[in-house]
Amino acid sequence: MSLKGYISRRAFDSGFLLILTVIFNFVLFRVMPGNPALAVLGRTGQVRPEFRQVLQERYGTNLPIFDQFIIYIQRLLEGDLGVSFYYYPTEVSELIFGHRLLNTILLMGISILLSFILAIIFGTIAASKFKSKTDLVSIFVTLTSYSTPVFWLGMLIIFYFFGQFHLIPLSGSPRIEDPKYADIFAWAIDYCYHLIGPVTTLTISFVGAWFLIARDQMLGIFLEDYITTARAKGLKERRVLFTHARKNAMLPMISVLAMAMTYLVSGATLTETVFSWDGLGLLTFDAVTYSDYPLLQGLFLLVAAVAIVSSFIADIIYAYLDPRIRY
Amino acid sequence: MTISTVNNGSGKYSTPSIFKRYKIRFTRFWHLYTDSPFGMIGMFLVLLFVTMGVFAPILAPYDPNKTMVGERSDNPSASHPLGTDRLGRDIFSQMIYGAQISLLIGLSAAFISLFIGTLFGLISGYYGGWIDIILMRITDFFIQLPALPLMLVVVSLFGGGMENLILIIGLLGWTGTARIVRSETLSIKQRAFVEASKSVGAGNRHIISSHILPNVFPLIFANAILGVVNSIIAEAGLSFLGFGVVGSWSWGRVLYEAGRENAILLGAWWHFIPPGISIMLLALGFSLISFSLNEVLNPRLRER
Repeated sequence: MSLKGYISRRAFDSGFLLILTVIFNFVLFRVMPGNPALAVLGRTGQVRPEFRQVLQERYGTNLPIFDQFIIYIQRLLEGDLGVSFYYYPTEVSELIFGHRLLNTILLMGISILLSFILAIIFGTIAASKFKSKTDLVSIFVTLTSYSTPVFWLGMLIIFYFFGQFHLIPLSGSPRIEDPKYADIFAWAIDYCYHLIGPVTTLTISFVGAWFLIARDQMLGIFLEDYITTARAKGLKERRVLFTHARKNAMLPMISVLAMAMTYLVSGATLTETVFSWDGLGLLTFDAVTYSDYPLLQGLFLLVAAVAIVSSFIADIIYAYLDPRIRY
Repeated sequence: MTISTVNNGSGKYSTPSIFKRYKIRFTRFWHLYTDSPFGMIGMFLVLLFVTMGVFAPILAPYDPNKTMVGERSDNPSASHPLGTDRLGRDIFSQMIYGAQISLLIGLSAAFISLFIGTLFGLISGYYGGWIDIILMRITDFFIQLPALPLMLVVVSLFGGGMENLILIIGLLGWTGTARIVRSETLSIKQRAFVEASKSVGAGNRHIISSHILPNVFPLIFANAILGVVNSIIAEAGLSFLGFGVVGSWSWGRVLYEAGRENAILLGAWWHFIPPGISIMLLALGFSLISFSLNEVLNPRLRER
């Protein structure tokens, strides 16, 4: 199959998944217990009657379910995700695509990048010393970090680094609009200062999840003939490791990175909650706590869409780099 | 492992019974497993917490829900080794009972995942064609959905509670197993013994249940144990956010209470360090078992 053929087939698949997600997202919020017509309005009694009227007009919740679906699709195509219950009358799209999205992308982006680099470095070192003490110790450490609940790690970091050593601020995410900042640099410095805690927490937890994958990939590659050749040529071990082996081990790690792309927008609900980081993860938590269904629906759709698109892109890169995949 | 004949003691060779074959296989596996220090540490940790959970009513000094007026927010002492919470409940007893919930939810959710994943993988890999395409599209769909946000959405729609929590965690964790089982099934159905079975007229159901499943199972076992780790951690996270099982104590709920009482800022380490360590050690126990099983059951790694 040509690369073009492969791309068009994957594009078709992704489009299909996207449609499935939209339907799933619509159905999920209407199959909940209780009166299905009232589902979108939240549990009875939690919504004030005056905007029940407004919402009924907007979503047509008194209409048959198929008509509701048509209305939902129409709104969606117009980029209208509805109005939040809790932050009424703020639009859902306004809540999502603002400073919260930026906060989450920065927090997750830095953590993912750091962890990705660290996982590959540690994985390469451990694999090159297969079955040695270094290998075993690093496996034990990463399994421990994999087994540690991320929110508890955050609590420990706050307890020690804020409570005992006063190295990091307690929590929060500074906003540029805050009048206490004289200029953008003062804000940026404070912002980075507040990032230390959550970034450390997430990095430890991501490295725990990715280390073994990286190590496994490297182990597979060490058995390949070209590594033996490189060693036989008398190349320095470090050169063999980091130029010959690493490049090929990167390939499967791309799919790991594609999965991580979703975190860029889903945020880390637990970590953001512990550190009161005002991102999309914390917004999800709030939406669940206050049964803010339109907000939850919007967040969920965004995350699912990003997941589908990033896995599509990853597959294309993968197929481009490794022609065997296409068949 | 190709043990087709054994010496039955009388000098004649015969094909051993199925029971004997499995016994030999298991003995071999057990020797390899006990050689692995990680595997033994893991088993020790898991057994420790299983004992703690089973004997919780005996081991716990108090009823974890009993509020003791006059002993509110106490520091650790001889009568309360880990102090009390703001309602005067004994934290040490909550910890002991926590083992029950974490193990129960972790194991049952992982079992559900294993069941669905194996079913999907077997059918998809064995029948191929359109069934395979449709089932794998569904799998892809669930793989791409981020787990925690989806769990939160479902919990907020259908409510918490023990059964719901197990179902939610179980129903969202089967995708990895499905993929592994599918690829194993694809390779096993090409083997000669499946062909042979087909040629003597065995039905699909018979081939799947007595030829493919027994061969797939060892490989998915390690994966299933990792599913327990994921379920335990997922339960802890949901409980910590306040969507756990109401009325019973899990370690996640102890941490939720600790968070509500500002234990971190008050320096009440006894309220949030022990439950966290317990989750970590139990999950680590299962992770170590899973890692060792993988090494023992995956010959590719063993031969190096």
